[in-house]
Amino acid sequence: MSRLCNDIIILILEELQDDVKSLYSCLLVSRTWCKLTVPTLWKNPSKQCRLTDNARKILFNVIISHLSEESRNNLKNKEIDFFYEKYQRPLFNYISFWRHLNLHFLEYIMNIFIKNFEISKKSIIGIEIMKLFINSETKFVSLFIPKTNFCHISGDEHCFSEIEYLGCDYNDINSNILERLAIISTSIKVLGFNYKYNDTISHGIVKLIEVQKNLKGINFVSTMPRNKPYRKALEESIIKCADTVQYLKISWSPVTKFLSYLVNLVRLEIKSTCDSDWNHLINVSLPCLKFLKAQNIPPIVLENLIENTKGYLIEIIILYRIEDDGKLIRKIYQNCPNLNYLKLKLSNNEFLEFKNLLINCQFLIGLEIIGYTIDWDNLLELLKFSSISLFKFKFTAYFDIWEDNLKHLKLFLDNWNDRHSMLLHITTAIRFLTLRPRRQQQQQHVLRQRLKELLQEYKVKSIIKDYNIDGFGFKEFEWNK
Amino acid sequence: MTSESSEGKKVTLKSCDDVEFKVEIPVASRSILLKNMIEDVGETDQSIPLPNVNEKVLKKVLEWCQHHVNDPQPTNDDDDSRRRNTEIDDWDQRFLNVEQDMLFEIILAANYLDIKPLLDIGCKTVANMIKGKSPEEIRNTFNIVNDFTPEEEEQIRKENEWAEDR
Repeated sequence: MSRLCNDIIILILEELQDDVKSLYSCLLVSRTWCKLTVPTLWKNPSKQCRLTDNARKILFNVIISHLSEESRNNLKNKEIDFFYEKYQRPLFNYISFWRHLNLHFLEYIMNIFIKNFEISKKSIIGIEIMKLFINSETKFVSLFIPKTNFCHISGDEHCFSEIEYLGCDYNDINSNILERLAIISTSIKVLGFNYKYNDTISHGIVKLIEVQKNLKGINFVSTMPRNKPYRKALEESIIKCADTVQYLKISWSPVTKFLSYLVNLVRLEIKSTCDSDWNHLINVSLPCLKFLKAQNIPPIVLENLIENTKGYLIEIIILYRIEDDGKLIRKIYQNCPNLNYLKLKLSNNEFLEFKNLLINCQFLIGLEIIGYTIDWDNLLELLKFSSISLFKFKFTAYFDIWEDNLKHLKLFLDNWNDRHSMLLHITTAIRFLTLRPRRQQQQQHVLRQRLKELLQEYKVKSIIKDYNIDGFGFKEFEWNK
Repeated sequence: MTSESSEGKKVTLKSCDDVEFKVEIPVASRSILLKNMIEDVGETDQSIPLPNVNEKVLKKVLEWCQHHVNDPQPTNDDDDSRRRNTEIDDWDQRFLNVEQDMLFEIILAANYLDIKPLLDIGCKTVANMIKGKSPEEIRNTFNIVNDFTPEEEEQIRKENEWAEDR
């Protein structure tokens, strides 16, 4: 290995960045390997979102071992003493390698020792710890700011001048931070905001968005305040990044035609719970759109959106849609010849159009159908019209519907004999509005067993490559999140 | 020079042990170093010397370039994401199933010649050899001497144990 130069060893170690145990082994190989491994291992300790209490203690002790004599004395003078171990200067300035600053994670680490401290003391500790991060020579790549935290960002934010990823739970304090970041951080690629039902209206987000030079993704996780001028300002700030934005997730009905400006948009996720005015989405054209996820969007709006793409849509997920006699499905097969994945709720009177979709969308790979009470016997029969590329299925129905349709499912599998081995994910739901939920659960359990036996039989015959019943995280369906 | 216009035309590469290889320009252009040289110099009968690559390794690297001649050129942006998404396909796995010395030589040559996809899969292959191994096993695999003092080793272990204790 001595023949490989250090630059190459670093590249090899970066291949292991998601495997901290192997990196830990690499650290202990030799002095050279140790020096080369430390930056990769310490680049993002928060990647380990769950640590044992012991691991948190170790990490916390290493962090506080970086505190200066002055800071330690300052804390001790304020009757804060968690320096239980004899001080030993760390072998490396580990904090200087930290590139992804997640304040939620820092608190998670610190809480192992200071959970029961008074808030004022927690704040003092937070300030001293943050000095280690903010004062270092580090240039952070990402920053996550939670809703409430005692690790405040204040003072010199130069270390955030090159951040590419910013996640933020939104509130007044964080709005001020965002306004300050807007002065120095203009190279953010992905922004994520979570309102968490906070109705604060502030312009930190607006200012931060409008100064970005290479913003590719914007992700508003939760519903925004129902304040039209504020939403308008927000949409106008996004227009200023129209040339670069490729991914957008919003949770409100637009109050301007800002989406029309996003001509490079590749992925759009849009949802709403109670907005009724969708006029600004009518006639929006998104020529590059490949991924569309929509929730609670009126059919007419969706039909328009799909009709105004240029045929590049490869993934469509429609949640909570109002039935429209198959009009939406018709728009999909007429305008999305390259469709790979489709998820939607289906009703019996849409079967004819659904059959047309199976015939016309020749590149379909995965299909997720939600049909709690539909005629699954007819639907399973229809699937024989699908293209040969289709092999991933996820079906959701009430458990008793499956009970009635086991023989049809068997027939469907028998007819799959000469096709690509399928991946099958079945979800069985309980009828919550009926009585006797306990009895239903027992029946559901029995059904699961019968389904399992049936699917296993076809797995043995290689008709099914893999299957899952009511499980989460069936990785083959990762496309569908 | 695009691969379309250069189809059929050849360039001569000379290894450090003076062996010449006549190579189609699109194949040589998998190497960004060579691609830039060819574009700068234009058509020439003179061979391009490669002082860091010997005949055996150059032959092997050119075999890879020939096989991947029609692959899209990797983009410069987001190196990290490119590397993460790189899977080693069956052909490449067989190609890199060589003695350790040769694997290292290929990686060094890919680095020198600036052939990022080959460098990526080479590094990934070595990383796969490391996965799950103890420090001692890694030392044995790559013939590395442990030069820590016991005190140093103990302190490194202590300061980084959070990564192990999960």
